[in-house]
Amino acid sequence: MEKRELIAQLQRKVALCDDMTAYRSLYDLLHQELFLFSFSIIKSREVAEEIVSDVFIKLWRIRNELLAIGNLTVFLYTIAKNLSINHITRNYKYPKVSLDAIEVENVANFDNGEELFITAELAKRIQHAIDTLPSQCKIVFQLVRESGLKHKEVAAILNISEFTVRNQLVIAVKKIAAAAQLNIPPARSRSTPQNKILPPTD
Amino acid sequence: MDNEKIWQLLILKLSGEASIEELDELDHLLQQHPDLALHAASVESIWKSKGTRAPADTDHLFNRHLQRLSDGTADNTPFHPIPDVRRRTSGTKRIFFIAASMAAAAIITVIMFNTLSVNGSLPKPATPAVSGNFVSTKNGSKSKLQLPDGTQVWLNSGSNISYENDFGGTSRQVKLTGEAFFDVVKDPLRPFVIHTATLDIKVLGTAFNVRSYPEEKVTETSLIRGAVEITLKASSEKKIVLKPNEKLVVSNDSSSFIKDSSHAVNTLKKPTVMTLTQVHHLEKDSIATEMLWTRNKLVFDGETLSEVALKLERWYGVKVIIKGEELKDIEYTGVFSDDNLTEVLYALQLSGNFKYVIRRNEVIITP
Repeated sequence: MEKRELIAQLQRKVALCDDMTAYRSLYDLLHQELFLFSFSIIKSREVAEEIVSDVFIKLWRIRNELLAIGNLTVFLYTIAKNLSINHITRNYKYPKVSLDAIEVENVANFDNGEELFITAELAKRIQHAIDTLPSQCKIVFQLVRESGLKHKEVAAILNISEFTVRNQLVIAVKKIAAAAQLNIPPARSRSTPQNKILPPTD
Repeated sequence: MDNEKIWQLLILKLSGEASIEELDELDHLLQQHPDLALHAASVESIWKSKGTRAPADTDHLFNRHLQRLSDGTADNTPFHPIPDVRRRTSGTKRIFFIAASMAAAAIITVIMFNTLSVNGSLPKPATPAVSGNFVSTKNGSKSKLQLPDGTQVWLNSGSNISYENDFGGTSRQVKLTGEAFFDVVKDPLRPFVIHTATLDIKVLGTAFNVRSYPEEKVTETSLIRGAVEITLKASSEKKIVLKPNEKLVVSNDSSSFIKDSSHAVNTLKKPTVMTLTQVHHLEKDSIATEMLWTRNKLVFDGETLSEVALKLERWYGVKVIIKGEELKDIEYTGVFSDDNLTEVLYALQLSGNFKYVIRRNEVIITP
């Protein structure tokens, strides 16, 4: 079953029957991505874990009203975002109100898999490229790529337009392309003059 | 401007949100811009090379989450799961957690049953009380529930209780398999009756423990306070009234009972059939050993290793295999609170002269 469909079904079970098993399944399905999302804002594993737990506590408390919620994923992410921002504003001298003003941690994950396309050197450069993205851009990229959310969902969570989501993605992808450009093997022909291998930098 | 269009289409493709037309358009544009095609290809490989994250230990995380939930809930939100017997936290907090989780376990099982009936697509449980309510506990978990009349029931592991929807109408009837402790709300107009495989117990208002596991040889009824009247299925004309602190042990093998029933009820001297004894207190003024399980204490009261093994299986949700007939009849006495399986086995083997191995959910006991 598709993940969204599954989540919607579990949502109904929790709402109608207080079904603890369904609740647990929702936790299993979503806690890790919510954790990464919260961690990227909070930058503390302990606090991020607590926030995810708080998100699910909230979910249980309002379980009887869940039917009214159209997209549970968006709903849970939004709570996670608000709790994360609240945590930061509570703990800092100068309250920051938007995610844009918060330095966001990079939690993107790249792996060679079996293709061996990404060398350690390339992975490092991509990570660096993502590291240097603006906060909102980084978050958008992570929500779409790491968590597989739809543009519409990301827009709803971050309270921005879909248009903005796409533009932020283009910025991120261009950055990655620039980092990867240095890696295109000459053997694949069509090499353009910029296509040179740089000595490893540190 | 073409370039910008390509990037826009590319991110739609990568996000899995591009339509077929858009994918075609992207292909078309990339053919016209071979320099960008290379970029696009490498970005796509990078996008797709998602490392698999190590799966988190969700059991551990979820249990911690539940603990936070039960600690923080002012409204005593019901919660489920398996009380973690290994965790040792201090006094009141722990008791609260157990109580909360026990209460929750009951509610959850009821709910799950109802869900099944609503869906209708799943096979209905084979219990006769399909039209009513069914609460069961798995091995390794216990629960506490409140019946519609306010009666409190503690359900031990591997047990189930059921009652019809009209419970409390003119009478209060429940069916029990396994072990439960009842604290029955007094209501002379509506007698409370518990049906087990071997006997029926009629009460007016009282607290008592019933133990009737199908895999055990006897059914035990221990009265803590009040009075109960017990009717044996095998001979319904016999009624036995228990007084506080009395305990009735009846053999589950009804055939042997019928044979000896005429003597048994009066003399109570045939232990294989029926015995009336006293509720046991290991220490003076302590609560009866028969109900210690409701306080999360695992008790062996002069029980043979075979009986101990059955209890361990239910209490910890494991399988216990005894290799060596000579071990099975050695008796053990002891009370364990909050001990994990290894601690219990270790303590038992100190006095029992056996060896044990724990492998996943299996315990093997050897001479």
